[in-house]
Amino acid sequence: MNRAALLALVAAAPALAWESVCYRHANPAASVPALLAEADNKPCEPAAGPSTTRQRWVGPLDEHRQLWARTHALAGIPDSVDATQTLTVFTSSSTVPIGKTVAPTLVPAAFENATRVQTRSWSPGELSQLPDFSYALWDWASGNETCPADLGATDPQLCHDFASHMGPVNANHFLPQAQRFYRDYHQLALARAAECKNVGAKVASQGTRFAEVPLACLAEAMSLEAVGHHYLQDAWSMGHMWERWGSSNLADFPGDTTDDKRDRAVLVALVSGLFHGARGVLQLLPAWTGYDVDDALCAPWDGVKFTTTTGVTANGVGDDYAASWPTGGAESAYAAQASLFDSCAVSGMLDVYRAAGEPGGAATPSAGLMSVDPLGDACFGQRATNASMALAAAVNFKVAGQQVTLPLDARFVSFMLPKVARSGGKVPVAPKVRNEFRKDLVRIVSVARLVAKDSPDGLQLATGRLGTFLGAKPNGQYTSVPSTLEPALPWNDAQLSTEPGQRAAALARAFHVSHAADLCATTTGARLEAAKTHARDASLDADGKAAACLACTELALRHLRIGTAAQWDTSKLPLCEILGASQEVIYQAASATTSPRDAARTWCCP
Amino acid sequence: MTRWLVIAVALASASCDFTKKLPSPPKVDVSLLPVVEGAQRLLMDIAPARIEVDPTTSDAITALGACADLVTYCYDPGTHSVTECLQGAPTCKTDTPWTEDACCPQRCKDEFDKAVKKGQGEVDAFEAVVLTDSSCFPGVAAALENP
Repeated sequence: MNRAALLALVAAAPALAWESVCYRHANPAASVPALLAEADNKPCEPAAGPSTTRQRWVGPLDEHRQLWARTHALAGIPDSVDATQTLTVFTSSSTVPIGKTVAPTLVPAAFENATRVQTRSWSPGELSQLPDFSYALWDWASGNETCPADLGATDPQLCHDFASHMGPVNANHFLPQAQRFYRDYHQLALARAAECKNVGAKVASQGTRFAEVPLACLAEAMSLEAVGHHYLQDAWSMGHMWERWGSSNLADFPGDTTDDKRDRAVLVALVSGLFHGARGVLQLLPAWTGYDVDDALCAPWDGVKFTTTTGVTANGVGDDYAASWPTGGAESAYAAQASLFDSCAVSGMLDVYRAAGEPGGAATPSAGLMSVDPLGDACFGQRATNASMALAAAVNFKVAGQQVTLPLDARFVSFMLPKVARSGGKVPVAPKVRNEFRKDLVRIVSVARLVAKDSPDGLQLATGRLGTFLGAKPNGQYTSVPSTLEPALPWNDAQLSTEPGQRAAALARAFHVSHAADLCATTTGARLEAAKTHARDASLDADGKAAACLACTELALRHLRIGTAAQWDTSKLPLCEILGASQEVIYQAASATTSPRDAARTWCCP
Repeated sequence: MTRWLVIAVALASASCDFTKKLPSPPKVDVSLLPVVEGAQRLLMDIAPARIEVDPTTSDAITALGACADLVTYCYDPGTHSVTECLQGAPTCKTDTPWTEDACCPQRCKDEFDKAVKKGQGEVDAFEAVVLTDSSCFPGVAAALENP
């Protein structure tokens, strides 16, 4: 059994962030309220990889989605904007292994190559959990069926496993890196929202004919904001308000091989988890199931506080404790934390919705919120105090109601024996690495205790003063471009020879209604003819024929004039022409009562 | 006469800081951690890695940790300075401090003093000399380079 296979067999740890969840629902296309009403919540199986993109991220403890929903309500954006959406995705006939079975691929294919059709259901708010399941939206659009090249893994379940692959490079979920990732997604969302408004204006003259296009665009723009929202939410989780060691690029970790780098990244992540608050991991230990792990930073502790750039100091909580945040102005020790987050999150969400032209109806934000720059220091300048970081250097739990604290002091960490998974089980790391691990930790916990005593209200420990750990620097010192970055806009399928181009194609094809203008611009006469030829391919099986016909119809519809080159129905001009995005036109003669879709179907599959 | 003698003795006691009892670290207690085997206890376990704790480990790094805790638990700004805590810590008697009770080597104390006298802050000097460079601490360099 190789190492990769072993890792795939052992249980994954939960995410060290506001919680993200995936459940198997009988009807994944159901509305969010209907999914929440289901009593029997079975976790997705497997818990990582392609399986998670086939199901819904709605159910108990979906903290990230709940924080999005909280923001949505405070922003006063109509509920319909966050309703369940459905994508019709054209694919090949390939399959992908999921656990012990196989499932149809979700990797989007070109219209002219489609042999299967899949539907995908999601709501924008669910995608605020995406960074715990997928590397980016292009990854989700590809069904989590591929692995970023630099991860040293090709099994899509393994490379999406949180404990072994995604967690070790999630330094971008911590400040200050989280700011960069929110910024990237917010700017993408704003750019798409502006395009939604533009498209909406162009199709407005056509009545309801193309009304689905700006709405699909809005769903995509809000989904991008939701992915970014994850990082904004994490920035307000107490456990993330410090410079965790490491980078979001595995290549940035020291080590001669990818496995060496991952070993270090995993150990760094484990220790970061101890500082963050390890309830999510420790509560699962068989011997600890009777304990109530209330580990700082995330759990409520009187001394755990953060300070903002404007000098506000307040108590904070984090992952697993979102329910501690008050609603409706109720009094709470965490009212300031919740209020500051609300202002940032609502400001960001409203920016996007308003940039889209508020196509679902005017937003009516709640009173009492501050309008802030969601990309600025008001939303990303908060850091844990030194005293909080010293409290974080401990494991806290209750046994039979009695609070127990095990300080992670210099003697305790010097006794540590880190082990990593190998084909024969977990084995101690090489003595040299073990001693580097222990020596670094002796320094880190000692500095934390001294600096916290010296300056309990200072922010030095959360801003790099802890120094390096196992060769990994505090995350604020890494500026490399993330290897999993979303491609630059526009997204179309014209650059398939490059990795960014392939990612853009996956996005444009998955969200093909939203990206109609982009795809119009790259559709040639040859591609239209290829789609028609493919739809008439007698060698296709029944499903292949149906899919090819549907895909050709969808493509042709966007370029089809009803009539002939000499005379056509100007009241039913095709979408690409209305959008001014393409000169490519086809003709199909039809009666005046024939719908453009039926005419397109006839053009493809007479 | 007796009254003046009492006052003189009291003043003398107050000025001799080295006679003060310094705060000492609490005992490390791992008894609530799950037993792995022998003395080893489990702290964290996820798919790709785990951390165990073995309180019977005894080497240069455990000795460094013991010295560090003598200072960090003792330090109390305004009451006990880092200098006071380090200089007041028991001095190691051998080149194998892990065979002794918690102590700090004389060489570390001397190098720390030099750094402070050169103007470095006490916390920074302790970190640089004892926790980062650690060449004053017997066995640490070897543990890192040729374990």
